[in-house]
Amino acid sequence: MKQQKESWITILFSFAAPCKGKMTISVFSAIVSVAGGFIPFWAVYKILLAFINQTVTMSDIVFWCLVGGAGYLIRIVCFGISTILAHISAYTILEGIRLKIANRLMKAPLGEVMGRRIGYLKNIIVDKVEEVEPPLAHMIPELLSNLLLPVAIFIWLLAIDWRMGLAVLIAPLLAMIPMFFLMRNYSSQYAAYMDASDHVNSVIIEYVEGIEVVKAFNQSTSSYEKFVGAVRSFKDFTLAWFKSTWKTMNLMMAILPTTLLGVLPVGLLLVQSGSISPAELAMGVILSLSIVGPLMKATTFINEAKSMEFSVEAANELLNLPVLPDSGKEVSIAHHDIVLEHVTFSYDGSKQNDVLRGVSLKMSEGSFTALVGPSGGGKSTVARLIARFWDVTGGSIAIGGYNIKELSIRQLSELISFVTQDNFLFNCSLKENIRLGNPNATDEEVYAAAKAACCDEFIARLEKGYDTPAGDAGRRLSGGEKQRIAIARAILKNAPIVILDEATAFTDPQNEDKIQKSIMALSKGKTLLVIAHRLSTIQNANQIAVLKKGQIVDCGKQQELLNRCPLYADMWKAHVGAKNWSVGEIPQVDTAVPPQMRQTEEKKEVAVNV
Amino acid sequence: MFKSMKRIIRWAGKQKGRLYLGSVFSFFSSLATAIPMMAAAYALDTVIRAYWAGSSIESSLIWQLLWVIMGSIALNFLLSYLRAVLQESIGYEVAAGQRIHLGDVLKRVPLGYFSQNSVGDILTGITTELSTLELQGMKLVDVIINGYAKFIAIVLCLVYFSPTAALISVVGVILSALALQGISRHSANTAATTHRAMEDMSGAAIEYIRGLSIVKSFGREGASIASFQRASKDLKDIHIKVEKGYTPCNCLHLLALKVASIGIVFICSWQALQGQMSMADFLMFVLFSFVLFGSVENMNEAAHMLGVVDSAMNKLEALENAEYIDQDGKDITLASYDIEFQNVSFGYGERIVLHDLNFTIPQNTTTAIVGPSGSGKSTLCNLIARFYDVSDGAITLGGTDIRKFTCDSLLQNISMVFQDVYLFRDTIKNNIKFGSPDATDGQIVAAARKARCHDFIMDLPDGYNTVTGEGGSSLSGGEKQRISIARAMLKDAPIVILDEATASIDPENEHLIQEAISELTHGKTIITIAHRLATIENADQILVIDGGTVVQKGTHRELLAQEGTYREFIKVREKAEGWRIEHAER
Repeated sequence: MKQQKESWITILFSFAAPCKGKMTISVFSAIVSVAGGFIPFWAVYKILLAFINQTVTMSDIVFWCLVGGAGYLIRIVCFGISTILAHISAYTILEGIRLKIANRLMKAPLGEVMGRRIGYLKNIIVDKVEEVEPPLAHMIPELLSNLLLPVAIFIWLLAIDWRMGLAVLIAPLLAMIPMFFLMRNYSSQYAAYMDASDHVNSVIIEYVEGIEVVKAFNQSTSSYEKFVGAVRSFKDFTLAWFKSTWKTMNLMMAILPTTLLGVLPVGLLLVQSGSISPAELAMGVILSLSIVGPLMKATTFINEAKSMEFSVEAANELLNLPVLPDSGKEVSIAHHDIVLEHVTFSYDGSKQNDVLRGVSLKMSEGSFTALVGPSGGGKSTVARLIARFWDVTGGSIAIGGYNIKELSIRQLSELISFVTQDNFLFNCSLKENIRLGNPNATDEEVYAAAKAACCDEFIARLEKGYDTPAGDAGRRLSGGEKQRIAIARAILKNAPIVILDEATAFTDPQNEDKIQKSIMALSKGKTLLVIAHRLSTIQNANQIAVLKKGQIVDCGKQQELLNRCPLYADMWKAHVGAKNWSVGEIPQVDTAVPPQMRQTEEKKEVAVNV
Repeated sequence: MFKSMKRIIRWAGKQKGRLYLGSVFSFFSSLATAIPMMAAAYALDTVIRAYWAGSSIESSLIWQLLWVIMGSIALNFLLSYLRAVLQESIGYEVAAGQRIHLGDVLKRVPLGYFSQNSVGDILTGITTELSTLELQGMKLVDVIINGYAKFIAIVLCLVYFSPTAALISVVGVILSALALQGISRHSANTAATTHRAMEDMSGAAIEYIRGLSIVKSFGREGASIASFQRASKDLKDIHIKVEKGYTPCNCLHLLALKVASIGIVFICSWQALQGQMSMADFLMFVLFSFVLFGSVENMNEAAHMLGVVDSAMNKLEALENAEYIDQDGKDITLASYDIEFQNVSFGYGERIVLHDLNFTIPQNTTTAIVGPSGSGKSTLCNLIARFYDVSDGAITLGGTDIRKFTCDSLLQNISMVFQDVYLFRDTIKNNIKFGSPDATDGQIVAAARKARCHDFIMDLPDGYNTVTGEGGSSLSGGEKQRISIARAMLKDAPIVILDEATASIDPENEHLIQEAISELTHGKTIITIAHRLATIENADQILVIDGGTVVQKGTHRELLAQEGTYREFIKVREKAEGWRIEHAER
């Protein structure tokens, strides 16, 4: 428990380095503020003393009131300074945490990052980290002064009379008894509370995200069962927890501030026995009253520290993501053959959860390989391992004879264009979005790539053309158009290896021919690896690897596979069947002979390009 | 401040009585905390008198005082416990009720509501901000009511002993209240800026994460992190600026109270010196001066919080007041299910999407809607389900304007299969059952069989009880599609609206989906946004939509015989479906 606590505090303060000076001044001001806070007590004591000794004069009163006022001024001004500096430090720490997370996300294996939902990551980077601020900023000046002040007062009381000093501890010690019962399972309850709260919020988010379905299907009942259930059980849980704390909490809160419980009787006994003077008793009473505020404040930090701990730990999950090792070396590569040898892979590194089990495959330079097979068979995983989204668990992947781990991450990324259906455009102009493929490209080269990817015509339709910000254009571009921009980017990059992961699916049926055309332009003369839905798309591949349950069951040309691989033959039948499903008029395609391409024009054009 | 308080009290609704009564207990419990101090003042007075007289105090006094203090602790505990019982649960109970209520509201507002108001905003409203209200609302009301109540009690007490001291404390509190006002104003002024900076930060974070794979594959790490860096720096700077504005107000607020308490010490000392105040009273006020304004100081933090709670209330109120689409609807049962569009026009705000549509979809026929993306096909379907209201004209179902229905009675006639399948993170069984909560297990399995998903469901580790979207049970696009068809199947509505999936369908699933669809649509009125030739060619009626109007209408044969969009479209589709990658080797 202790260990854990230290660890998250250590993490926090490891980010404090850039504002060490400010933090020091903040702490120093906080201490001065505490010291200043003593002055009014001293001043009032002086006035009381004068009354008790019956030597009081008007000028004494004026003088000590001014001293007391000055004390308050010091206390408040220093507190203000300390607060501002503490906030600056806290926000600097926050910024540091955010940047470090961003950095770690960049260095971590891409697969690790993409395995988490974007909303989840954003929530940690923005909201969870933000939650650290208030307790953090208040902890430095306030917790410090609220802990220092009681200690100083305790010492002062000890100095008056050691028995008075001990007497002031009576109330806090008694308060420890209910506190013990309160804190007994606080940590586990707090964790359960956070879980319950996260759960109810995630159910709500889900409900809103699926609102179309809710609207279309969920009439008869007043609300979705799971939604109502989550809300109710959250309420029941919180109430049950809180109810169980009411007695102990309020008992503690009744005892803790009543420091007079010990100090007054003990003080009176001491006066009675002549050990202390009446003025000292008065001082003891004043001091024991002044200890109350800080003590109460300090207890509220228990809660805040807990919430901070949770936030820091959430951030820590991302800060501790593994880093993908980078050799940093540029290797001169003679050719671009891709060779997978006995590749095994599992997300958690354990054998029984293997997604790939001994995959060996050779793709020679300039060839066209297709990966097919039932969903969940590991097709995308193979493609992603080549681009090093993760490192293989066993076996090896080599490009041009070099294990991809020996290449610097940068060099590997330069070798591969990876096109998926996820067509994200950055919030800059369309031109810059394409130019991302090659920062040194001239405008003319950008236009040429856009033309090759059939982006030209729809970009020309936009008011500002290539200078249209992607954010504005985004709403007016169809999925297919965005995809073509992504392809233009890859064309500009001109990497020797092209991987198409389900990129040929028709995100935009009416413009599918244009996507197809742009894909042809991209893959021309490249080492090409394709994962496609429609088997007709890949029937001309040099080799088709059939992947099932993480293993390659067969590999060959379309015709060979139709003859000897029952799984492929079934898939082909299903595919051709689905295409012409329940249609009488269209001539049935012979399953043994691949259908001739209906797009003769297209074929011609490709031939010309070649 | 009072306005916000009133809103919170109104929010507590029926629990208001408990809230008030709780505050009464809270007031008396804080008075109980004053008892030990009075005891101390009394004791000091006695001690000083004895000292002056050269005598000693009696032991019985010490015991009496000890009992008094212990009694005050017991009293304080009892009263504050009662307050907790009365008050603390209110926030949770009201918030739970409100969450459920908001769930219903969101179901009944037009879908347009979600595009006009950012979904993110709606979500923070019913998650984070409602949580803040839930946690803080009651405490705030209590702190503020008691802040004032105690202050008034103190002033009344002071007036009796020393009107001047009472005046000083009033002046001090007024000055501090002015500083508080400054805090509130500052808080209101900066809320929008801070909010925007937070949104920018979120935007930058999302763009950074989404773009990660792209920047990595293009080796452009530096460019992408720059905008993230900028957003987090901006956020930091704005936060710091806001804080710098707060702190002086906060200090002034504290200073005003502290100066007032020194002022009271001064006045009391002066009066005691003049003999206008007894030693006992003087001692009491001097002791009290340190804690006199404690409750007012607490209000400072409350004022800070109140701004946050206020904006949460704004958002929640806006949500609750969102207009139901079926405010005047009636439950109507139908004899026939013909759908007719009469001069229907529709726009999202200014942008006209559909204009002047006229067509009929007779009962038990299949209508395919085709057209380029963005031509308004999905909007048309959404209008039938009344996710939006038409801007002009009318849609009738069985001869009745659909605006006369309640959403419930309209939608019970309609099953929808969406293009983007949405499954809840729940068991597969519950996902299928979603449309008909009373379905038996037998009916669920039957629907799943018809939708061709029984087999793959049985292959999953927990069968129908597998939770979707959790480790190891990620379903393929085609599988999800079939579950959503089973859901529609189980609902068994006479009208089926089908937005054909365009992407992510695994090849071995495609024919299964087709089979599932044909089971679903058997003997129903079907409206389908179709992309596959097979679906289109078989339709009884094809509506070709382009630029928001119906440009062609008829059967496949009829349309194919005409010059026009349809023939073009079919040509493109045929080409696309037969396409293959021609790879040129170097």
